[in-house]
Amino acid sequence: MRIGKLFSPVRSADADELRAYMASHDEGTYTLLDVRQPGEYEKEHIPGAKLVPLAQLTEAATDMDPDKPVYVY
Amino acid sequence: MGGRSRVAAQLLSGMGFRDVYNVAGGIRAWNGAKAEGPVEFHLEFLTQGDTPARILPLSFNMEKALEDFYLAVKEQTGDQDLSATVTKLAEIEHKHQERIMSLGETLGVERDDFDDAEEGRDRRMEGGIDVEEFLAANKEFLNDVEGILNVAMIIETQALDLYLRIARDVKNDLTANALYALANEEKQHLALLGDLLDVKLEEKSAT
Repeated sequence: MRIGKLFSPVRSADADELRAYMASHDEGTYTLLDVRQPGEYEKEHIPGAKLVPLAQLTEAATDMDPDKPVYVY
Repeated sequence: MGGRSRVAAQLLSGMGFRDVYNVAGGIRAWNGAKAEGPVEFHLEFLTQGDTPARILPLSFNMEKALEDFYLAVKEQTGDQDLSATVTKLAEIEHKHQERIMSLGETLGVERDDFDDAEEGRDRRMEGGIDVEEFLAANKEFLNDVEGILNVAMIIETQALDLYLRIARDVKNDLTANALYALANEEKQHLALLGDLLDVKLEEKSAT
């Protein structure tokens, strides 16, 4: 196990940064993930977000492109 | 309710995603609100070595911490559904400890290594998990059933992340398979907790 790999700090983006990013990048070039439950997603979500509840994340990730930026909320 | 996205982002970066961002404040921040999320388990102990003698006691501690968390919730909650769920999960996490211990025996890990790790649990400087401290730090997020489920999902995701990361790097097949089996069960717990969260949110919006 490589020491430190476990602690790659997760970068964060605030809502304004995400808005700016979404405005300046084409759909399909990045992934916006909503990891909450379906009920929460139905109530409201960020436009364009893909719903993947936590329990399904590892499976869903195998179909995602690891080179594309991912924004998670 | 925040915090789930941060552990999700950790999980994804562990799976090789290079460019992952946690959207701070989530949907609430998107709507203009300021929001702070719960804290996760303190997991600095993971920077230790890679032998089963290191990994298994640490995994054991993670399971013990999960069990203690569920037992503490059971003690506090008046919600019957939540109580039934955490009782069941506490039992499974207890069995996980037994499985990790017996895997340790198979691999020749000394009992002392487990005992040392257990002692370390209470010493924050050693990177142990102190459940009381964890509960105190998250007090404001544990006031209702939804908050408790949210925090439970955060730590189950951390356990899942822990097992997947170690399993991918571990050289011994027996250990790797045992860790994948544990990871799969934590994933089932996440599904269980998620379903209950959906039910509770529905009940809340119906009243």
